[in-house]
Amino acid sequence: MDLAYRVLDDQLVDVDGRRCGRADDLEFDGELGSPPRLYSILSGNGIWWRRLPRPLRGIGERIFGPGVVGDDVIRVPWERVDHLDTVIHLKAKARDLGLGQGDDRLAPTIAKLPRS
Amino acid sequence: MGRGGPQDRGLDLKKVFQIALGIVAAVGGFVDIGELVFNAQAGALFHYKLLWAVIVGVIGIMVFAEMTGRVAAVAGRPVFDVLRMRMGINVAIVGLIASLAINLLTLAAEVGGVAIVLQLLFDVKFGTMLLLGLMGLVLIVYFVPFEGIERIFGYLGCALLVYVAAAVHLKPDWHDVAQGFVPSWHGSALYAYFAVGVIGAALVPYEVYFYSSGGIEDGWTEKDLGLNRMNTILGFGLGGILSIAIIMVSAQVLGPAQIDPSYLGTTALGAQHAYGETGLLLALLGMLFAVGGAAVEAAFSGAYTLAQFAGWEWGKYRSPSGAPRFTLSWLIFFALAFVVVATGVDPVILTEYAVIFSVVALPLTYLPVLLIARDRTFMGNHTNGLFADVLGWLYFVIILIVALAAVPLMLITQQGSA
Amino acid sequence: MKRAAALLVALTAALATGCGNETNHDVRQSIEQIASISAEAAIMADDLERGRTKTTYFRVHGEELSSQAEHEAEKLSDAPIDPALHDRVEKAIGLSAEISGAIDDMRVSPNDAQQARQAEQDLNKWAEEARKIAGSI
Repeated sequence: MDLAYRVLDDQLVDVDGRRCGRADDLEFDGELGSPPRLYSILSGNGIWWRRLPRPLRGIGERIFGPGVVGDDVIRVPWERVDHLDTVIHLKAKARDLGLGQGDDRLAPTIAKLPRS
Repeated sequence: MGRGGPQDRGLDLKKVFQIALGIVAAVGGFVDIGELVFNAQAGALFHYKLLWAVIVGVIGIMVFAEMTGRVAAVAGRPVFDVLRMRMGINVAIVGLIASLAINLLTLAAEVGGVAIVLQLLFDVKFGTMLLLGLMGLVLIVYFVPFEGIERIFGYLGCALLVYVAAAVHLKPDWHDVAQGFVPSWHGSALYAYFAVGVIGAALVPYEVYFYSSGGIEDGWTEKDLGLNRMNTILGFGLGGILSIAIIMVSAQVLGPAQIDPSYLGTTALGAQHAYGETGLLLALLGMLFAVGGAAVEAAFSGAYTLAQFAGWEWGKYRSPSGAPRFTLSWLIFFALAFVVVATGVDPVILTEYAVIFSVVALPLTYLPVLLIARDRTFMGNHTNGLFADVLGWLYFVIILIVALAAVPLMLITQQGSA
Repeated sequence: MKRAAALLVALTAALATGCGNETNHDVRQSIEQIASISAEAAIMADDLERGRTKTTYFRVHGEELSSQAEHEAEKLSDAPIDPALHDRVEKAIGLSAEISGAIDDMRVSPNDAQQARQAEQDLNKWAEEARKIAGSI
């Protein structure tokens, strides 16, 4: 749980040093009676509503998205994490993990601007 | 291990020169439309009696900015990153919404201020100057590197030093001035409101978001801690002298005539009265770049806040297509600010709301920074020392008091008019 | 029943007094604004006479002050006023018109030093008059 506390809400940075989201939520697995094991990081605005106070979750879901894994939430398996310091360093490129899609979608449009 | 030769002394000189330039830029970049409005009004209404509030505000921003700069250099984390990490997503969302709203208000006020000053200089319709001023700002921000932006606006903002000269030239009663630095109470809500306003105008959060993110943009490391301390102490400290000078000039020119400075043009009148057309032009030029610089800081601050909250790539040091959502964010903020000002709302009134609401939201961002700055896990050997800690907590109490008092005082005094 | 009636009367009186006071306060504020505008315009006139200002600045900021003076006069004219204040308010409205007029004349002819000198004296006088009116409310 100390690890979870440490990791939650931290910045994700891919192998090229690109910022590609945050650890917006965490998934654990494990058997009953044994300590939980950090299984994956969930990143994406679709997960935010689940962390809001209960009365705000309805409106949060409508604003931030329903939280569909693969769509507005990306699952990053814990094995893909390289190391932790002030940020969470990943072992792969953001694109390969499905992260930073918003920037990837917008980049061609912004690239049309001069000197971009 | 021997003493440095001529080449090393040359390098040291270069470093000293760079630091000096940085301080100059910080001085010129200290004042924004909030200081111009609140300090002029404070001087006109209360003469020198609120000079102590400038000191409180300036020391506050020194403390806050030094901590955020240190956290950026050592832990590699800018303010909003720290806020989300330390306080969790719920507090961060509240902070995000508050920051974005206040940034937009501030940005609109600054952009409107730029248009007003351009209009005073060129006597062209406000709408035209608003459009041209905005385009000028966007083009400078887009094409000029980060350091260049800081320098342009910082150096040219130093034209406001005309107020320092004018304050002395107008031969104040120095005994009265000195007494103004001693906190006093005048039993009126109006006095309290302007005390809050003067403190709030100096302690604006967007300046700190920009400063800490700027530290990351400039690639600060532990080696830059000295630079951070110089910038915040000398830069903001000397910048505070500009605020003091604006109060003094207002007290000497506007106060005796019982003039209420509701316009930026009125603030400029003080410099004109001391030095004629030259004084006026320096004041207007200084205002243009100080307020323009503040507009850039506010726009970037909003984009930094959003990008850092969501974890997007950010930074002027990235190409626009390297940080597309960040780039689009600051462009949209400028566009929204234009829309707000184009509705006809008075930028001076916007400023007053922006300063007061900034003060209300300030504890939300100050506390996480203070907690991280004292946390050995993140800061190693560079945590707050005893002095910094005492000052840090003292200022948290001051900020809380000011934040709680701000809105009731605004309502009771009808925004300083009652 | 009697207690309820007394409470109603007290509330009504309080509201009525409160409303009257609020209007008086607004009236005093408007007139103080007029005085402020006049005093500021006087300083500007002095600088204009001595060639110590920029024409563009004078024209733009002068227009702001002139419009504000007119706006205050309109507020005074439109607001429901305590009849006891009527004469003083009318005087203030008249002052406002003169102040606007003087500023606008200087904006049209910024190089007329004699006009500026006269305007400075008048504006100072009108500022003082407006302050006296505001002080009496």
